Amino acid sequence: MTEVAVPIADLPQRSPIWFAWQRFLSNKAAVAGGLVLAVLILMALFAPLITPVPPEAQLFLTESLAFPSAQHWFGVDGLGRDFYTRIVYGARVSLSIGFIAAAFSVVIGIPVGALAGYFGGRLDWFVMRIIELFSVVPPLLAAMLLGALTRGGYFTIVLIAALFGWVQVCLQVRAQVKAFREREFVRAAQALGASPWYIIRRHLIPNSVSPIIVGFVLAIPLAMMLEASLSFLGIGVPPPTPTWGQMINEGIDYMFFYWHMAVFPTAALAITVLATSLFGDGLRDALDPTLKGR
Amino acid sequence: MPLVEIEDLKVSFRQYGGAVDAVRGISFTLEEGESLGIVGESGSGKSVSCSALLRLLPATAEVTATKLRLDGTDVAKAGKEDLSRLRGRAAAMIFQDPMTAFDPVFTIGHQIAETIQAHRRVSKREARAEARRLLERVEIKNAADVLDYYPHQLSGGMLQRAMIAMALSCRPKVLIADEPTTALDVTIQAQILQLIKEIQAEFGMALIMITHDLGVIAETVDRVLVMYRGEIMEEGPVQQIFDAPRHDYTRQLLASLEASFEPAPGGADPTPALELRGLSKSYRIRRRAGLFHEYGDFHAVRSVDIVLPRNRIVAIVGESGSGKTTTGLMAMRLTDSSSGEIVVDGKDISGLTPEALKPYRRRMQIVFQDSYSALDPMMTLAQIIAEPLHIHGIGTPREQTGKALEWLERVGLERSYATRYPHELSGGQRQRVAIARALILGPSVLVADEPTSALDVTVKTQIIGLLKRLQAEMGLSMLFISHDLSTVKSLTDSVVVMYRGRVVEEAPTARIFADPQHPYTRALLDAIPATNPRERRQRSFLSAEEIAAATPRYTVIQTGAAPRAEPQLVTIAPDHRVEAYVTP
Repeated sequence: MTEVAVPIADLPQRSPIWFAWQRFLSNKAAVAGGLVLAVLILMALFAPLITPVPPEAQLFLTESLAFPSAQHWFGVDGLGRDFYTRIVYGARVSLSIGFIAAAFSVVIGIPVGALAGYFGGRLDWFVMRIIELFSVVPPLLAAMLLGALTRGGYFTIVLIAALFGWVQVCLQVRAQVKAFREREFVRAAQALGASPWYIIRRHLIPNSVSPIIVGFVLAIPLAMMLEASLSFLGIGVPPPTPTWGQMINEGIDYMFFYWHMAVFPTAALAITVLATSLFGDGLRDALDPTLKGR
Repeated sequence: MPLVEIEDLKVSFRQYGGAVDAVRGISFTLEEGESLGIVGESGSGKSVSCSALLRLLPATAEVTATKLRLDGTDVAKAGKEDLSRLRGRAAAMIFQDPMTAFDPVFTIGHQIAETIQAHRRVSKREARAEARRLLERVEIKNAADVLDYYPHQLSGGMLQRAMIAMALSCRPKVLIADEPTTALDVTIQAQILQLIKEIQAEFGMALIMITHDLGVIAETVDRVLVMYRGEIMEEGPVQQIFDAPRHDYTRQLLASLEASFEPAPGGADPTPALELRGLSKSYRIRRRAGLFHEYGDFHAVRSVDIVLPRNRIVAIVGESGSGKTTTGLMAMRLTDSSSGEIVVDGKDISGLTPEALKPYRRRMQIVFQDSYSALDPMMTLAQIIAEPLHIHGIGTPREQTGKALEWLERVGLERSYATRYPHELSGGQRQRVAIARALILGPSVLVADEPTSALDVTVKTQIIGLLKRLQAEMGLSMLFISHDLSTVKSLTDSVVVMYRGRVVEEAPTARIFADPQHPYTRALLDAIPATNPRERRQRSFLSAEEIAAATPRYTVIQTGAAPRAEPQLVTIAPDHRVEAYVTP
């Protein structure tokens, strides 16, 4: 069918963002994911206000391994620490690693992707081979190796996650730049004497903003899962800093007797990753309606 | 009983925050064997009404009608089986863009045979044989081979023929042609229109021709509906519409066929604003030859010489693939040339570095065909128009915006549009913005690459008028690349005809239209659609071989050029050059 042309003159003035927002609002799962994510972020930010006890303090040794109760919502762990407090503080580690790693991914991915897409040729070939290298190596195995070599730690994990997260952002930005560099407004800018750098900065990156946002949001759950996996294996963020991966690891030993030790951190991780993924998918559909159904 | 009966048809599309009425209560009927033209600009609801007739509209459309009957069946109440019978046997549709109307992963033969089998109980072999007969009927010469071709292997004109063959496969009673020739070259358009008329007569079908081009209407139909903003403005026999239009909008449409302008006065300065000397472009292509690859050159443009005098408009015409756009892009240094010189104000700019080129960029600008992709969707109109000032660092941001606003008015848009985004504008308005951006630096040369071919007739006239006005005001020298000869005739001072990467004829506009010498020029001029139904005529079309064979011959005495085995450009009159063989 040919495209149906509809007069637009009498509609009120609306920016592309407005339409994206409407599309996002119509996706219930994404809105729910976004809300959950917002609650989790607020929880992590205001953790000291929500729970009065510090996460490392062994204040409840006498009640250790107690089941959930009105006093201790998620129970008490084997070392006498309030489990609810530890889950809330765990969100800080998970979310911050997720966001910082995603930010690093974007910082590496945008320039590399934009340059490869704009100039093409040998540079593009080189970048694509590096990307292939990263996509054949299983991230967890490589992360374990790197984690073991550097003995883990917060920033090591951020770096490892960024190292594997930039690939997606880079591919998306590259594809978008490649598609747009043939557009006539880029040609027009060239005809005006604009330098490649100006065109990339002023035209191509603003037009890639949707894949960048999407790449950023979808890199978050990947980084969180990587952190949890490494912490679970004992080469992530070292104790006593509470992280969900560590807590799942501890909880497994008690799983058949004290269910709360395994269930709460697993659920927290699952909910956070799910909410972020749903939010990211919704953003992608909203910002780039042509990708829908892929 | 009429074949198509529509009474008080209304279609509206639901959108965020309201509905848009696309069709507002139209009624018409179509008898068997009749041909009806529906003419109107884009957004006037002409395609939508015919899609409603076949129930092809998306789910967001709301269709109401007191009567909507096709071949005696009520379309609104038709079930699935009735619908599949209606689509195909009662009515078949051919579309504007044949490239997207075919599925790229199946062969042409497969797709036509599949359609035949969907409507008739025949074996695969019989369906294929029928498909072949149909392809032969639409004058595809190597029909047996084309059956096994994929859509991308055929040209636009051939695909449109295949599309017509597919539409014919179910022997429809009415053929709905939705802008069937808009995406095609003039010569191909004339061929396809003639084919549609012949086939309509042979199969005894009714025809609904949807178009924005009055020339197409004048060529093909008996009765015309003029639509504007979802309503029928005027209805009548085609001759009456052309001779005695009653409605203002119809008059405006007709006036756009006969626009003409004063020729540009020409400059006193004899140095041309732009001169292309022996400019050529070849692409290296790799072919597999056994185990190895062999390299060949594809010549997109072969050694073109074009002179653009000051304050003049020179047209480059030719079919798609003739190298006219490549020439324009090379002149702008947007595509690197393989050899030759680009002389601006006496200086060859073909080898300059980007930095050295920047001052020259201010003197020459370009307007593109597709106004949609020519504007950055993320920028407001003021930002877009001010961009050239920004790139060249002229004035403070405040002055830049001020100048952009002035230009917005100068190209006929309101200042309040400054904060709007390109997607909110119509095609014509977007093209105005593109023109403002190209001219804000005050260039002396403007390359206009088919600036109006994607626009409606009335809008096209306005844009051409705007270009002409600005050309006169600013003393621009303009290279006008187009395949639309009627515009070329009214607007330009001289014409360069390109064919297969070569210049085959070059002459002042009046002369080339009065006395074309090269067979290809004649073919082009012959293909211009009639501007009145009385001028309808049977045309004969030349193949590439026939054009090559009909290349004119001159002797050395007539031209003063040295004899050569290859055709060469010879001067046969002042300012009139034509490609010809020179014999001793």
